[in-house]
Parts: sequence; C-alpha cells; structure tokens
Amino acid sequence: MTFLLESGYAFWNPLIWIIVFIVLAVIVYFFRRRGQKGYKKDTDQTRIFLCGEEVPEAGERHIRVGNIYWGFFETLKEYYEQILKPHTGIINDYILWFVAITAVSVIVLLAAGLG
Amino acid sequence: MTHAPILIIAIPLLVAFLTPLVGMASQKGRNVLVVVSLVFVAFLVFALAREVASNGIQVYTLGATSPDLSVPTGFMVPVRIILEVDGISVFFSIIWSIVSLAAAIYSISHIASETGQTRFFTLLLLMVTGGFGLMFTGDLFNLFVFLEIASISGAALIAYRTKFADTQEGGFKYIVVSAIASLMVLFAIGLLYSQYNSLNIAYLAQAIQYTTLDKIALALFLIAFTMKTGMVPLHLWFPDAYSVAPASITGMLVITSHACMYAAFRICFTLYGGVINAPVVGWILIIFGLLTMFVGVTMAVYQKDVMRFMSYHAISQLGYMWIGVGVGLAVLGNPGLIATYGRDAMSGGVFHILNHAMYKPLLFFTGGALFHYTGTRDLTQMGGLAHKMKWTTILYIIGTLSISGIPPLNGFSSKILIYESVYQFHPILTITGIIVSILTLASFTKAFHSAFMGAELPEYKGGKEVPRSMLIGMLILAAGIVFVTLFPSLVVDWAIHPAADSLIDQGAYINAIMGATP
Amino acid sequence: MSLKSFKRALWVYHLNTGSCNGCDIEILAVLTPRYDVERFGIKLVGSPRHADVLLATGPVIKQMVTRVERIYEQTPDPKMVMVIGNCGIEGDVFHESYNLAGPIDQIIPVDVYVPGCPPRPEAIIHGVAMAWVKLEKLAKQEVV
Repeated sequence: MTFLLESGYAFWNPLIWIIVFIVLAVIVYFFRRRGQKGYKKDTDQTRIFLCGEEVPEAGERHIRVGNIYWGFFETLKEYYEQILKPHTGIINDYILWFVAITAVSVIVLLAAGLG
Repeated sequence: MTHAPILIIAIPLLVAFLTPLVGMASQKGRNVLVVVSLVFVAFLVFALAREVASNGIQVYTLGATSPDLSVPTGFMVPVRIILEVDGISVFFSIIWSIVSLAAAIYSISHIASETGQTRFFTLLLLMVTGGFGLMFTGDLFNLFVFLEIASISGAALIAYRTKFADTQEGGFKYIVVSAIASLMVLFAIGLLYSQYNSLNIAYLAQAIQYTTLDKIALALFLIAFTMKTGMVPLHLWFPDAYSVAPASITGMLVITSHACMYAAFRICFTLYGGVINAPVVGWILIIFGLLTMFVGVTMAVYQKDVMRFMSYHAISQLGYMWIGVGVGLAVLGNPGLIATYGRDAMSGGVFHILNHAMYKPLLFFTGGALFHYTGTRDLTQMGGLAHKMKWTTILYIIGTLSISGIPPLNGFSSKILIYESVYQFHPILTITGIIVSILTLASFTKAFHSAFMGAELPEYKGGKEVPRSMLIGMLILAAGIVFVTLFPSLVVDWAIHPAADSLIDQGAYINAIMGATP
Repeated sequence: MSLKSFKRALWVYHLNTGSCNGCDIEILAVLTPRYDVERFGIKLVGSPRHADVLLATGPVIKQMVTRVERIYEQTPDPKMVMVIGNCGIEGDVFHESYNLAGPIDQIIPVDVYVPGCPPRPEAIIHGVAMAWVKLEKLAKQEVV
C-alpha cells in the first residue's frame, strides 16, 4: 500500500482525505443544485445587494491588503513595535547580529565543554 | 554511470560557457540548449540516485586511475579531490535538479523583455554548478569554492533587472552577507586544516578531536551556514534580497538556502558526528528553529509586498526543518531515543525540505506571475486577478494549501511526522509548529483575497494569462507536489529514510573513503 | 385553500421605508410563540435576494425612494409586496409632511394592504395568507 504513511504513532492516507473531500463536494453540489433558479440574468436580481444602496465601483469595494486583520495587528501592536526594530534594512546591522550570534555560540559551545 | 558525479557538475559548467556562443547565433537555440542540458543533468541525478540506493555510497576520485581509488597506494590519507555521494547528498541534488529545471523553463518568458538574457542563463547554470558541487564534494575546500560560485552568481542574478534600484540594493546585501559567511567558513576550514593537515571530510571526521579550536570552527561553520539559510535573527538580509530578484532566481535562492542547510547538516552530523556535544548543538538549532518559525510567520502576516511576504514564509518554513533535524541531533548519541523518535523527527525535517523545495518555488513563481501581469509587487494595488489568471490561481491555491499543511497535500505529511516525533522531545515544539501553521494559512488567505479575489479591477482588464513557459515551470513543481501528496510512503521509503539514515550513520561515510586504510 | 404550484416555505424580507417602529414591533409579535408563523414556514430573511414577499412598513420618505426601487428590482420573481400599516397605504399622521415621496403604491406595485396603526398580528397573518394565495396563482402562470 504505497498511499499509506506510517509516522510511528499514527497513519496517514491521502486517499481517505481525497475521498472525504469528494463526498463533501457532492453534498455541497446537491444542496446548491436545489437552490432558486428563477433569477433573471442581467437585471438587478443578479447584482450585489448592499441594503439597497448603490454598489461602488470594483476598485472602490475591493478590500485591500492593508485593511485585512486590522484587529490582529492592533492587539499585537507592542510585539510588532519590538519585532520591527531590528529590521532596519542596513547591512551593517545585519553583520553586527551575525558577529553577536557567532560570539554567543562560541561561548555556549566552549562553556558546555567545561561542565 | 561511474562518471555521473563529475558529469553532473561538469555539464552545467561547460554549458554555462557555451551559452554565450550559442546565444550569439540564436536565442531559441540557447534556450533549448539550457533546458536540454538541465534535463540531461536531472536524468543523470536520478540514475545516480538509483545507483546510491542499490550500491551504497558512490566515491569519485578526480585524477586517479580508477574513480574509486580514494586513498592512493602507499598513502595513509586521501590526497586527491574526492566527490562522495551518499543518501542525503543525492536527495538534495534531486531537489536541486528539479527546481533548477523548472526555474530555467520559467525564466525563458519571465525575462523575455529584459536585456542580457544570455548572461542570465550563463549565471543561472553557474549557480546550478555551484549547488551540485556543494552537495557532492567530499572535500571542505571545494565546499567553500562551490559555495562561492553559487553565491556570486546568485548575487549577480538578484541584481539582474538593473532598471530597478532595489535590485541593486538586494544584490549588494546578498553579496556582502555571502562573502562574510564564506569568509567565516574559510576561516573555520583553516582552523581544521592547521590541526589535521587535511581537507577531506571523511579523513577529518576520523581524526577530529573536538579541541577548543574545533569548537570555535564548529560555531563559525554553523552560524555562517545558518545565516546563508536565513535563520532568525540572521534573516534580515533574506527578504531584502529575495523579494527583488526575478521570480525564477528567488526559486533558486530557496534551494540555495537548502544547499547551505545541507552543508550545515554535513558539518554537524558527518564531520563532527563522532565528537560533537550533540544535546547542546541540537538545542541551539531547536531554539533558533523556534525563533525562526515564529518570527518568520508573524513578520509575514505583516507584509504588503507579495514577494517579501513569501520570503518571510520561506524563513518560517525553514524553522520546521531545523526543529526536526535539531531534535535528531540532540538525541544523536542515544541509539534508543534515535529509534523511538529521533529518526522520525529527522525524516520529518528532511521530508519537509523536499516539500518546501516544491511549494515555495511554486509560490514564488506565482508571485512572479503576478508581477509579470500587474507590473507591481505591491499587494495593495492588486485585486480580482483570478478572472484573468485562472491557471496561476489554481497553482497558487495548490501551493497555499500545501504550505499551510492542509490535508491531503504534501505539506501536511511532513508536518505530521515532525509534530508527532518532536512532541516526545518537548511538547512546546509541536504547539509552536501548529500555531505557526495556522498563521501561515491566515496570511496566505489574506494575500489570496487581496490579489485574486474580488471584482475585476478596471486597470487589469486588458491583460492575458502569463506565457506558456512560465506555466510549464510552475506545472513541473505542481506535478511534484501532487506526486508527493499521493505517494508519501513511496517517497519516504525511497528518499527520506535513506537520507536521514546517511546523516545518522557517520561510519559509512568515513569507510567509503578511508575503508582501504587500516 | 390548497397549495400546488408554490411548493416551498414563504420567505419574507422586511423593508422599513421610514416607519415609526410600531408596525415593526407588531411584525416581531407575529414571530413570537403566541402567533409563531415560522411553523408555517414563514420566515424573515436578511436579503431580498432570498425573499418571496417584501414587507414594507411606513410612509416612503424621499431618501428611501431609490433604495425601495432597487430592493424591489433585486427581489426574484414571482414576488409579492405587502404594505403593513396605514402610513404605507395613505401616509396616516404624516400624510402632509414635507419629507414624503408618497404612499408606497406610487413607487412600487403593491399586492396586499394590511391597514391599522399598527395592525393586529392576526391581520398581518391574514395578509400573508392572501399574499400566499396570490403567489400561488402567479407561480402557476409561470409554470404553464
């Protein structure tokens, strides 16, 4: 059985997942097919409903990337303030980090040898 | 087939210098030459992989009367340049050959509007040479040389589109970082050479004592290579360089970082394998791996530039590999723990490298397709592109689901191996891994929505789907994803376990060269 | 009264065109356990795209005119419009107001009038039943 992957504790078979997804897709298609078909094409019946308001142009109503996950960034504002600090874009800082991390690793490796 | 290791290095090198000559005659002939040579190299790599699988480690001695004459008669040490190909090197070279082929095909249309295309392909083939050499060499100095070949041509390729200012900056940062990393590698090689009078990895692995100088050399090797792979907090150059390169080169840079990861594994497991303070080095890798995963993904959610956003994801995914392999390294001295979870963790880490090398270049290529279509990398200016770029959208979805570890795609099969094995080492590793996976999905959904979804924007009404060669380049990688998705155990048994075992089994690597000597 | 052509539950969209909220509360009363029209399959929905019946309350103020027209257009056929309350029928206490565009039937065609200020829930249910019968007739015409 080449589809089966034993991870040592559990098994993993992509075929099962694919079958599950196909079954779900069939169920979804079944419900979708039962929907209302009476909408008249190219009238207001098939256009966007926005509480009766006029729908803005495509470029106006697309939610741009800057507006997505606003709450996430607002919550983690302090984390991002700290994490953005090292990202200076200056190559000198990058090399400083390299020197610092190398020094720390050397010290750790030498100290581990002493104990 | 005995000459396969040197042919795999030599053919791209020769074709690289043949390309300008052919390019003068015809552009099409040059493209065909590049693609055919890379297909042939890929064929050779697979043949070599078969050879390694059936006959064990392959040794190729340059300049000897017979390729397997690694230690000349009357000598106690190997004196010639030796190529040594074992499970892990052939595994990395398979990745390298497939992605470089896809990148070369993708480049044909992607750089069609630029000048100096012939030089582009020359540099690309030089980069391919450097990668193969890095993976096959059994000699530390050659490792440095090939590392330099790959980095210098890589830096030139990053700066290839000279009409943009940021490409020059990215190329400059890459060359500075690479030069310093290579310099530290050279310094570490010098430290070893001064003590043991040899550069051969197998001989050094036998002779090494783990003196104070060796420890300093190990730290230099480790941090230099991890900086080249883009480990937090040495990742800062990584998005700067990756986001500005042509997308095909970004794909190549991803596997260059895997090549440097290979070098780090080679140093830790093979060169220092017998003497290394495994728990300490393992924990260093694990802690940096955790940082890499978490910082990489949180920075990625924040990005608004499509290539930069994907670069941070490339960083974050590297953390999984460091954690998997780091856990394997931490329990290296303990055969019982290796058998219970160490080998599985390493297999998971190595498997994730394969998966990452498939879906990450694919995602970078779709990012390049977006750039090709819209002329900008800024996600805030994109929207509704799925209306025109149907194939790109499908390929992006495949890559997204795979990188986020959504079943049944291949990203999940390696992640489950890592999760289940590192959980036994320390639960926090698995928990962080799952959180990072969720954030990955969240940020890719965000980019998917802002670039592909929504109504068709008026400024992008007239465009067409990207040219065929770009699609073929992406489809090669997508086919790889589908293959690994459908047959995970086939891949694990034939490629992943031999690769992980060859890392654990240091003795076999030494014996393949030093076996003749008493 | 037997239903043959209109074979699904009746979904209703509540459209407030400037009502004082009296009729709206009576509509809610219709949905409470005492009257509980959901047992007949009559249900308030959030979008006219899902609705069979538009339930309009209140006199149409000037700002609502285009919106009322657009929502009417967006309701799929066959559709019914019910006016709840005196305001929608003839303006009631607001009928001389400077701000009115007029009764609803001057803007969109209305099928069922339920008078009252506000109408009793029983009256509303009766109106819905009449609308249902008319819908049945319309659906039959479409089927044929």
